[in-house]
Amino acid sequence: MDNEEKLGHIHPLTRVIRRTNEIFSEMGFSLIDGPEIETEHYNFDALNIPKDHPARDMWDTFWLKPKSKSEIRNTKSPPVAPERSDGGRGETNSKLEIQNSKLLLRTHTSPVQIRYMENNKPPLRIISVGKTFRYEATDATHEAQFHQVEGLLVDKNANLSNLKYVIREFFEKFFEEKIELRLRPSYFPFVEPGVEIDISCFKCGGDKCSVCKQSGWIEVMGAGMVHPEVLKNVGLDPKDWKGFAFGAGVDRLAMLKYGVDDIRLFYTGDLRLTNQF
Amino acid sequence: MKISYNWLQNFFEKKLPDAEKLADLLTMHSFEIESFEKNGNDFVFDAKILPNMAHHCLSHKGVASEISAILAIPMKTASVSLKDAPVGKTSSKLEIDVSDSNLCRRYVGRIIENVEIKPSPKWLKDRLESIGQKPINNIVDAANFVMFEIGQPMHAFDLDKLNSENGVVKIAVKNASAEDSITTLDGKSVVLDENTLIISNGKNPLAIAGIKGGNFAEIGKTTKNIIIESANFAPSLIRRTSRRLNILTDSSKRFENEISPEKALKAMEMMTSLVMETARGENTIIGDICDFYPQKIIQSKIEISLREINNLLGTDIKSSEVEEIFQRLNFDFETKKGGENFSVTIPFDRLDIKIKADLIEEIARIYGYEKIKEQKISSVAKPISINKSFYYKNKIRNFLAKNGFSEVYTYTFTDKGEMEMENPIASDKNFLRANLKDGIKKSLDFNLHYADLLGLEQIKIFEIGKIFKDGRETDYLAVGIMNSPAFKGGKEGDEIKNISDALSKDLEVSIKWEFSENGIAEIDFEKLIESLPTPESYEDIKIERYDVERLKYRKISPYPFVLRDIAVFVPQGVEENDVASIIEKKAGNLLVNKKLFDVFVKKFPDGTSKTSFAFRLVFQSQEKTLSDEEINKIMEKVSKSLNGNEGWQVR
Repeated sequence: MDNEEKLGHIHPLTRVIRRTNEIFSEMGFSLIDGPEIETEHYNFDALNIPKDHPARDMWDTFWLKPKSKSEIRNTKSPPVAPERSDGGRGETNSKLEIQNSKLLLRTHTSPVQIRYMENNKPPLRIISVGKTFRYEATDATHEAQFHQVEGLLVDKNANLSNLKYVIREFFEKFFEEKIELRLRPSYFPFVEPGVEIDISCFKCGGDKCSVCKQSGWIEVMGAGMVHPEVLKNVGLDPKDWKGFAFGAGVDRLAMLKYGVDDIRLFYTGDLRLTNQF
Repeated sequence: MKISYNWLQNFFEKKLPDAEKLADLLTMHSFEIESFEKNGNDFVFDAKILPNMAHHCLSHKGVASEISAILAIPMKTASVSLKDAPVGKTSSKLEIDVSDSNLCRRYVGRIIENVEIKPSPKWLKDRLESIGQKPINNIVDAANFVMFEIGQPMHAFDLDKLNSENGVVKIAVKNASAEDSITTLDGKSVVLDENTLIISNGKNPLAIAGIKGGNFAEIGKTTKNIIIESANFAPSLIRRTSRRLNILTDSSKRFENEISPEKALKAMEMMTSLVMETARGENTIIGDICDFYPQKIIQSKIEISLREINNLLGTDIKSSEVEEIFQRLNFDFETKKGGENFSVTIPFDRLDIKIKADLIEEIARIYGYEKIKEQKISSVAKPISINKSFYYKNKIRNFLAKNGFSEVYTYTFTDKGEMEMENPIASDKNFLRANLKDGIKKSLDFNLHYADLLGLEQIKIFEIGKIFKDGRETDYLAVGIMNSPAFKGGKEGDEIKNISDALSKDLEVSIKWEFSENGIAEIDFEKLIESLPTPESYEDIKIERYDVERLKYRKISPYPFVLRDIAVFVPQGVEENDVASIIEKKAGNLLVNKKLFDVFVKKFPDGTSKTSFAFRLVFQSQEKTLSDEEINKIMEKVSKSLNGNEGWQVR
């Protein structure tokens, strides 16, 4: 047995996450963590997704039984302090709201945007990568647990054309191919305008193949300009600050990059997968 | 939502682009057309209408308005020609009593007497059938047509089933009482409660407001006189109620997404016209419109400057271009300061446009996102902060991988723990894991089955991930080892100790496992790194090989693998590789793994020394379960080829 065979293997999701962090850190984005158990406030309300709004349907949610709630509140988790540091208007109310907020498994990494902006002054550039959960039936392309990467840039003059630049840079480095972006109108309550981002197929370059399902394009990311309401929620004046945010599925990126055909393989602890990497 | 191409075409004089082109235009400028298919001489689009577009686009007219803006072509106000019908004196009178105008913001009602219930004319049936709706009768079909044409849900009641006093029929919009129940149009009995808004007449609930009609005053063959409802209900009420009762309808979908109360009257006029066209009898009389609308909606205005638009988009759009886009969107606007500022009046339908950013999105999508050029961001304003946890996780990953451990990710959901979900995805996945060791154990057992396929005598794995206990979530690290019977080295527990000591040395921190038994150990990762310094860069945790080697996944075969051992004596000087390459060549691509498991030298009576190489071969197909026969054939070929060499002998 030679040395190579004695080596262990790093999980493909870890590889994707590391590479993602490398690319974004070169562009000045810091990696920030957030809790997997979130409050309804951070996962929804603060992101401009109010209760009883149809937008909630876009995120099928696992709710936690209340028993765990009182316990959680008295500990140091969540790791990022939820209280606002600037003592803005309506603080008492929002604190109360946060405390009474129901607990859930975060459905996206977007709450990290809020947690970070509450405690850090712009200009800022962050990404966050982590496990997320959706209450949905599993199949080859859907898992109830998966990973997301989230990015946020807030600056005096951030604009949509900057977003285009950052995202294209990322995908070109990630897939190691020349990439074109295609933005389509979409809707996420925490951004406005909101877009869906497709990349030109890294495999066929747009000539149509099985990877892009014969379309030449691959849907990879949701993005947009940070909604003024979200900025207000963290005490920033939308007149002074603009931002853009984006989010993508890590699992999907790994599946595309390595040609893995079933998302569930990532979580079965199966070395027949890991040991190929 | 299903959209008919022909229905859309009826809004335009000009021929629309073909279905494929239209689908593409809508996807690029309005909302995603997920698919479209031919349906006779029509095409049906399946559109993904998200909540921001749902106020106006859950209707053919709304979609037509998008097309009108995208293509800059004029559209008609309706896809059918509508005639005004004179109002007459009906024998019954309608009275509407709304208990809470926050829940029912508008209620337009009208009596029409002496209608003739019959099947709808062909054009109407065709329209409804084109989007998968079943025609019922002329009145119900007209109501459905109005909903799919302009997005206003309508309802019709049989007037003669209702109580009246001195010719006055009272319709109340109020909360149900706890004893109420209703049998819906599809025959389901629904128990109501005080949180449910209903349409009622005397003691009889007629409909669950905005959600579903009841069968009590259903329009049937014998219906002569009708009441038509065109109302507007509060979105959150409808959403809550329809979720609680688990009744989702085309009507509830439109109301929960919110539609403008301004639509209700126009819808009533359209409905009336359609009734007169399709159900007119000899003495049909149209009653007065009863309109409860206490708080008339005022159109909103948004002031915006050219600068604000270009700043947010990073564009150089000209004033004249913005004006043209507003015109195409059919927005009334005033230009101020020589084209620098605009004051835009937002159409009633466009409830999604509330702030400047909403308006900028309108401009961007009609202008075309493809025209927005890239702009580099400034170079790093401040140095990135290094994520200590991420750094050490990856340092540990690298260390363990170097020492033969492979990384696994296991499930967060399990059947025991401290934190339970209200809505688990399965009864054995109702808790969040309170340790990593159970997942590691499962993974070890699982992978041991595949040890030969993997070419391993030991399964060595690790995981770093969140666990949930003592009321909080914590990052944990777990390692696990399981030896196969073939393994000749030391015990699992000893190896855990060794790796632990080595890791401890590498990190310069002491490691005290919280749990360590039978080759599995785990530890609080956060505590482990607590005393370690925060690094200054990620430089030494890079993955080598990422760029140099293009990794590609090879599909895991769902079929069983088959083992065969083969040993061969070869003359001195023949190397392992010489034997291996012959085996590989002859065994073909069903051979997925091979491992040398035994080597020894034997002196033969004739004085020569020969080396024995013993290989374990693993066969597996991507397409089928391999039979013994097939493998035997391959093995024969391999043996024959090996024996064909001078002095070689398969044992």
